[in-house]
Amino acid sequence: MGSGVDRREFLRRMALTAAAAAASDALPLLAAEREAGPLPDVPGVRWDKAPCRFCGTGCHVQVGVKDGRVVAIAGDRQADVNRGLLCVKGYHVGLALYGEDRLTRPLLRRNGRMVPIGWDEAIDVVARRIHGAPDRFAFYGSGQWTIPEGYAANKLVKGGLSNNHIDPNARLCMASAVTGFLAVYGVDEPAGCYQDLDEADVVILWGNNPAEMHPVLFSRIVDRRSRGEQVTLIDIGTRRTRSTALAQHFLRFRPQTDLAIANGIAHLLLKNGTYDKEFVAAHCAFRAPSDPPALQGRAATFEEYARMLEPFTPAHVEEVSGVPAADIRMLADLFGRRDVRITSLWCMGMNQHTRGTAINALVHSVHLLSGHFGRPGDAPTSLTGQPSACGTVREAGTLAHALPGGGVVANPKHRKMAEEIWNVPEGRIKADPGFHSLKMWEEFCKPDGGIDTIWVQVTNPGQSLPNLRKLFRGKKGQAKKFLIVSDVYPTATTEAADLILPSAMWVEKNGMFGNSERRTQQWFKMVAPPGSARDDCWQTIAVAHRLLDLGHPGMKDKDGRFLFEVKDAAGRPVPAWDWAHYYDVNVDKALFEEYRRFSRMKHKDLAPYDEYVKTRGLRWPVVQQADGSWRETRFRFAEFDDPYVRKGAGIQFYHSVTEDDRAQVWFHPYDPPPESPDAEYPFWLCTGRVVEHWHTGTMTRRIPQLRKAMPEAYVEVNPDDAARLGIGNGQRVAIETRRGRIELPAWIEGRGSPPPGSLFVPFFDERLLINECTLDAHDPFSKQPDYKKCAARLARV
Amino acid sequence: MDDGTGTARRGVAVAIALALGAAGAGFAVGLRPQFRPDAAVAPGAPSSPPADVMPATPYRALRDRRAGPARAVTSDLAVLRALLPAATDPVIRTPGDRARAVDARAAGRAYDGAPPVVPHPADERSSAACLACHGSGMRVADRTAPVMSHEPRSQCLQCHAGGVRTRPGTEEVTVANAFSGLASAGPGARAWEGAPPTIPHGTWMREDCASCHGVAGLEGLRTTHPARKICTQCHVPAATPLPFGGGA
Repeated sequence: MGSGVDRREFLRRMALTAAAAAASDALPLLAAEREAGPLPDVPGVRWDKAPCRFCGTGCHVQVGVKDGRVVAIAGDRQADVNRGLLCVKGYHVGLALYGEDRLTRPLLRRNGRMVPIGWDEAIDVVARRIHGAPDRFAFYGSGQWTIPEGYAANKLVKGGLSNNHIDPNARLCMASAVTGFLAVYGVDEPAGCYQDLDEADVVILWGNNPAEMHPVLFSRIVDRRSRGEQVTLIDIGTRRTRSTALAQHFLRFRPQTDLAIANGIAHLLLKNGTYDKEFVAAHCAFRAPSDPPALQGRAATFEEYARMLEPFTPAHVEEVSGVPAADIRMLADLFGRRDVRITSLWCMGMNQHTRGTAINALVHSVHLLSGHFGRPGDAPTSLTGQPSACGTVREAGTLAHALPGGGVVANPKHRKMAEEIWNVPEGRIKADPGFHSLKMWEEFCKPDGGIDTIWVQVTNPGQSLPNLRKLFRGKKGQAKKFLIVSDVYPTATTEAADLILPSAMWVEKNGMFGNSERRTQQWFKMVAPPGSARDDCWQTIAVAHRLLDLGHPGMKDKDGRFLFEVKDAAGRPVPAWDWAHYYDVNVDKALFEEYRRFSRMKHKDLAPYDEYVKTRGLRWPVVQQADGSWRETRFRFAEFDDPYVRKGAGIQFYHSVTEDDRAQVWFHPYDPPPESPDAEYPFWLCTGRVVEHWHTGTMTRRIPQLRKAMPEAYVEVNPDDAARLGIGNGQRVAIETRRGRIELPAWIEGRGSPPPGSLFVPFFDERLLINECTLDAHDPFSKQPDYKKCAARLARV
Repeated sequence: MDDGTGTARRGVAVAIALALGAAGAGFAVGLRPQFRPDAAVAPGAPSSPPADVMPATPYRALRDRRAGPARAVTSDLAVLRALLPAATDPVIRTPGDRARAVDARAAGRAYDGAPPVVPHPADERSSAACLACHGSGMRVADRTAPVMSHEPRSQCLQCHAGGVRTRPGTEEVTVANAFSGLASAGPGARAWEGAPPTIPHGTWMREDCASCHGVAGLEGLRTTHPARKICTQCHVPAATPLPFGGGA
């Protein structure tokens, strides 16, 4: 580790030291003021809290509102997540509301043209489409749904329409993290929290670029160095990024071979006898893939496990992955030490992977095998890309196979519980999972497919789905198919829509999100949406009520009451389906209080709504104390913090798939990817994101400061490849795969630098749709597609 | 001040000077070329450049050639720093200067309190270059590089969006957005004529008043007494209590 500080790093540190020395002499405000410094006291400006609209970090912002409009944003110093700091997107989040082409009226396609219609007609059109063929209707949602929005949509589809065809875009971003957690711990979501980033001695990035994708968390790590703390950053990646620039070690691997690297570490831990024997004996069992393949695989003995790892010698791993054997040994030596704390971080690199479940399970397994688990700073932690991928998708269960609170439709007990909470007749919820995202869109695009109508809320599949020609464009020209899109701006998806519903966004409505560290967050509506835009949650409830009017039997509960009956403080039903009365009560609170009853089953206990009003979020399980207060949990499964761990157990995996409180240490073999470069398509193509733009850019590309900083997509090309092909910086080039072709400018030695034979393209630009080219091959368990590797060719145009 | 402190001070000064030198070197080393003409040269590429391309000049020649628009510019950090006014130089402020300074500030940010965008190309991968100039403030001809208003952090571009295009081949963009940001709070209130004005704006991430009001600040915003370091001895933050009661 000592040799890790190279010349660049030395110079960087010197520069920081100089700046710190200069600054410490001249910061005139007192320390106490810096701690709790005031927000500007501007007449007419009211400040209120909200989580940021963008990524899964879950920063809190203070929103300044004047005369009914957002005028300023401040980092929230009371928020433990971000401690007053934001990123370029967060500081400009308020501007996302004011792009001049906001959708303000419902629009219906008539004779090929989109014509404005009233809300009553729009809701009626949706309800009649559903009522005509409930089994051929699907709801496509998002990790940007607020928790109440997702919960309501889930209840409509599973508890009302009985078809289970609801799935979110989060299928494309974190489904493999979920299956990884389920395969290892028997229950979803990270055990640790962001405090791990403050206490780790070593942070390992597995195919992860948090400097751009989770900048506030990355700063939380690297700013420790400015305070004189040592933190070793190891970047295991396929290209150099901004994160690499601050890492001591860069281990470049060939795409897909992260599986071999993880196995190589486990191999050495066993061979050197440096695995944590006590931890393994007390808390672990072993697992291997089964035939036929199943998410939970089959039990294995320690001896079998060791035998399966035998081939993964450092030399073999080097041959497969390209990472020098010495670096594999370095990683194994670190994991073999008990005196350092190691946190692993990952996001899309491990999740958007045809072996996503496997690599997730293997990284957890390396931490378990080495006992780097359960102490602050020792944690395998997956990060999420959307603000409520955890809260709305994973916890509220808006997936085709799931139920709220961690249940699954296939489990009769879980169905029964949901039917009880929803007060619907037994058998209302169907046991068969619905179509997952890729299947849903494939069925929608096929003329004789099983889906005729899709309602999209809060997402942009026309840009974000892989292999767009197959999974999105196929719909065009089919009179039978009908696409409904609720959104705030025109997008690649609304372009294909038959009905567009204008939505309220972010602080134009009440909302709740759940971030990457199990933190549930709440905010209130602060400004009015433009024109006649309305809340997505209202749209869902209004359609449900219209279905009730049309006589759909599923819209009533056992007692004949409307499925979404909301009552006021005096217990009288409020007509929340009528927009004029939607804000007479807090519908979010009513839905959340109902949803919260699901949360005890998997020990994901949520507190009452009002507790979230008072705080900058609480991490579940939130457990009521003897004095009536509510206490959040930072470290799950660890006795010192998790109230559900048996006293004296130390660590207890109380949702173990083997029902013996043990986590599963997995072996998975390395298998080559479904498509690799060849003579015809000689390049690896990787896609991803940039710090300025959030996902498909529909919001951030309308923010002048962000658009100007990053105006259009590009392809990163290695200088050697560029020289060989005669490609200059900024020159337009064509990328072509077996699925599609796009032209865009080349950027050489820019922000990131791919190795020879590799290309990188960000996907934010709707005019340069790289998903024309990507592959729809996906993980067998999570059904998550792989956007990170396929074969491409490159040419000047 | 006793001798020990004096020596320590000198030691610190020397250390800072050394470190700033190293920072300068880091700046030079850390700058990566935005353009890689060498990467564009391919076998069989045309040998003569297009007419609108300026012929390359060796760096050695550039150093001695001071004929172009950059002739007044030096890149010697020590010289540039020395160009800043001394703390004892008199400061004359006019309402016109102040108005221009407020406009200049507003042009570079979305709302009062937003991190300013970067008005020049920036190193895409490292903050060392940022710190070389903004670590202590600098003036180059009529351009000022203000000293950072907050403690140094490692990721400048995390908060400060690149304000100009840093890549070749990108278009000019205009974005239709109706956001109207919070305006500058205006001058602080005075209890009576001659009383020290209150601080009219938020102070989070703006702890170093010298960033705007010090010797490297914009004309019109500079304090008349930059030698005094403890601003809040006399200037009170005009603050609203945190509007939201709960939370840890």
